[in-house]
Amino acid sequence: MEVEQLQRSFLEYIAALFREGFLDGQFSQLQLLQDESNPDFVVEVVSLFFEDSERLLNDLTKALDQQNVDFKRIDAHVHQLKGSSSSIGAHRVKNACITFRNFCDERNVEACLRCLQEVKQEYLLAKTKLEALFRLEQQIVAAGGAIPILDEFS
Amino acid sequence: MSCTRSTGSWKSSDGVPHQFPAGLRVLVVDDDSSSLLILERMLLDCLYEVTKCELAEAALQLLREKKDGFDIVMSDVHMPDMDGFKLLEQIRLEMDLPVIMMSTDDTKELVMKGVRHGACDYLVKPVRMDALKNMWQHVIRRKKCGWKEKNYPQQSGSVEDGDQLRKSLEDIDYSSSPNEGHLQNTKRRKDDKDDIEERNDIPALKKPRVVWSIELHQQFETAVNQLGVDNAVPKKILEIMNVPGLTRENVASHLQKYRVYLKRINSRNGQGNSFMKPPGAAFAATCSIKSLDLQALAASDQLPHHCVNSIPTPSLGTIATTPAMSVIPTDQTKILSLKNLNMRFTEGQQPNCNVKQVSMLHGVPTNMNSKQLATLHQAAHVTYGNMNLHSHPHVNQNNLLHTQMVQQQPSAQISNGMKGAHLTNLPSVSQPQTIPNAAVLGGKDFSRPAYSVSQPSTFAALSSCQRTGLPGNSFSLVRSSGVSTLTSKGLLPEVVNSEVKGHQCFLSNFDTISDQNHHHRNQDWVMHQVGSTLEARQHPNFQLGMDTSPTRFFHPGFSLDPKNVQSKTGFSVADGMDNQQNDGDLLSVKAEKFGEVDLFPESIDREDFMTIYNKQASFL
Repeated sequence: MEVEQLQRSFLEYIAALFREGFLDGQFSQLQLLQDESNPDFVVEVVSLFFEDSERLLNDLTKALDQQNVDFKRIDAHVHQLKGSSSSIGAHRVKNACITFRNFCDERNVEACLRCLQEVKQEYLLAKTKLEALFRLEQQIVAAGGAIPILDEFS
Repeated sequence: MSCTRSTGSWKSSDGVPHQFPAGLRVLVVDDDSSSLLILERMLLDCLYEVTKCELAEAALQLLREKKDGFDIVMSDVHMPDMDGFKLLEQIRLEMDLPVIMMSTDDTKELVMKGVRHGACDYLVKPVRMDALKNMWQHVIRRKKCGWKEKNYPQQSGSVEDGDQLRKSLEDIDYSSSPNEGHLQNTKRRKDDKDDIEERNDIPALKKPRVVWSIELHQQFETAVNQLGVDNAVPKKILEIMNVPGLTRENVASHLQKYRVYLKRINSRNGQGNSFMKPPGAAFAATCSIKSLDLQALAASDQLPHHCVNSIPTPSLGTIATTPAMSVIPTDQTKILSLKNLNMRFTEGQQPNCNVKQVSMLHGVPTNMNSKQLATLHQAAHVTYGNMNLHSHPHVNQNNLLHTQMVQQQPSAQISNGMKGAHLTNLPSVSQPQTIPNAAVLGGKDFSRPAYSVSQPSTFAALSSCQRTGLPGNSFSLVRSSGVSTLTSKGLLPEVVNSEVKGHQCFLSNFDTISDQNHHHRNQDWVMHQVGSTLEARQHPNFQLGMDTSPTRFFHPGFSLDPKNVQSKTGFSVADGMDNQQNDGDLLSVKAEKFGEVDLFPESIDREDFMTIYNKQASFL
């Protein structure tokens, strides 16, 4: 059945995301919070994450482009990004932020710029994969199936 | 609008207020919108009523507009418009609501900062459901401590809230709560009913004493933290606090207690035993008890043991018999050094040495009803025939507990009448802790002159009591877990000699106690003994308070007849006592009056004990 196939693909895909470290246990927590009364919960939260992240990444780019880099401000932005990425389980983005913060402490502009690139890359990867995941979900739902939850990662 | 409120669908559908903790009104402040959404979802799943706010200023405004509109606030640490800690301070100052801080950062400094600013908890993000499920404890805890401070039970709103909460609490299954607060709440719950009665008595018996309210204690803590705990001297603290009418002496005595409390917390943390982790408010609440009638205190389950500690000495003195005071002058100093909560109790209890008894156990006042006793449960009360003792059930308890604690047993659990709260796990029992209570002192310091309470333990308390051999003193044997019940080694003989006669039962108890091996861990029991109080030298946790009336044994099944002593029921308390073996002294005592009696079968567990205790309570 198409639904089953879709569900299988979905499970395989999400399992791979966990395996490769793109997602962590927190994402499973989000999935658990989703139910019939809140069917789009995960998508909503992740969408907010995308919005916030893009805004923060823009701010960071601007801040590092300044003559006098305000490391405190950068640190605050990165901390925020770290917070939102960890709350949705975007594991690799979170780790990139942690590294970024360390270099902020050192007040190393070059390193910070590199970190920013790293974070942007991870973010884009995460975004692409999550969007693919959501598309699969939509297909499953459209075919009349339920979105399966991967237990081992809860 | 940066604030939105949402409630679970259940609420809108039926409109009937659900049972607490459902319906808890939470205000969440976080600049991260995805975080906010997640928290909201989780809180709604806990059946709480949630209001979200992205800006701290907006949150403050909302709080101001709706006074009493929220039960608890959750705030992120790092926010663009206002520092989370600043918001925390403001809220505490203006609305005095419990505030929980959150952050992805979990560095010690930040957590400490939260504590210093008065946060009641610190959650690391991403927050898990478990952390939120028991969030309501902070609300209850605060309310409970607040109630204690109120002298007027009929105060509008508070009583109803209290009643409602009480009812709700009773329906709540506490067993699942993993938090420490759980224990506290459990105790409080049981005490609820007693509280109301108690509070009615309070105004009449109130002494003109400084009541350390939560606010006052907060100011005190802030001052101490500013100065640095090690450099905090009463004079400077007083200056910083700048509270009219507060004297240096008030601050000094409060500081002593606070230090003890801190140490207890530290040692307790080291032990992993945190049965009662009193928040600052709790500590303050304890102090507020000072002005309360001790009896009321004793009866009130609500008092955390440290509350009992706050019983000021002077007040005790008034109620207690002064003569007792003289018994243990040295204890006083020691008491101060005691880390345990018991210490605190003892401090207040000094004057309590009524009737020359040094029983460590708090004398269980005859007027204590079984309920009260139940709460006391662990404390060994030594109640000398003296009514004074009665008046300070808690005090005595503290003392006893103290002794127990002192006495070595880390696990000694003396419950100062605090239900379930093992009085402070006397982790530092090994030091000779002075028992402020004269009675208690008997245990430790007390033993000095006559007691050999070398072993810190409840026994010491007992032994001290024994010394005086006050007839008609009833004492409760508190057995701290792990502490052999009979700690007073050397004391016993003395005790025996002094008053044993009338307290045969007691002796036999000792025997059994001493026979027990120390297993003590979790065996808390309180044994009220009628008759003389034996100094439990050997068993740190054993506190015996003996009532002077020889034939009255705490335990219903217990009679003076040594043989009966053996009955398990008689001494379920003793049961707890494991084992520390008593040394010859006990035996000698035993020999003198009783035959070999195995008073404390090891299998006794706390529940049994409590049952017995309760029964005994009425006996007393």
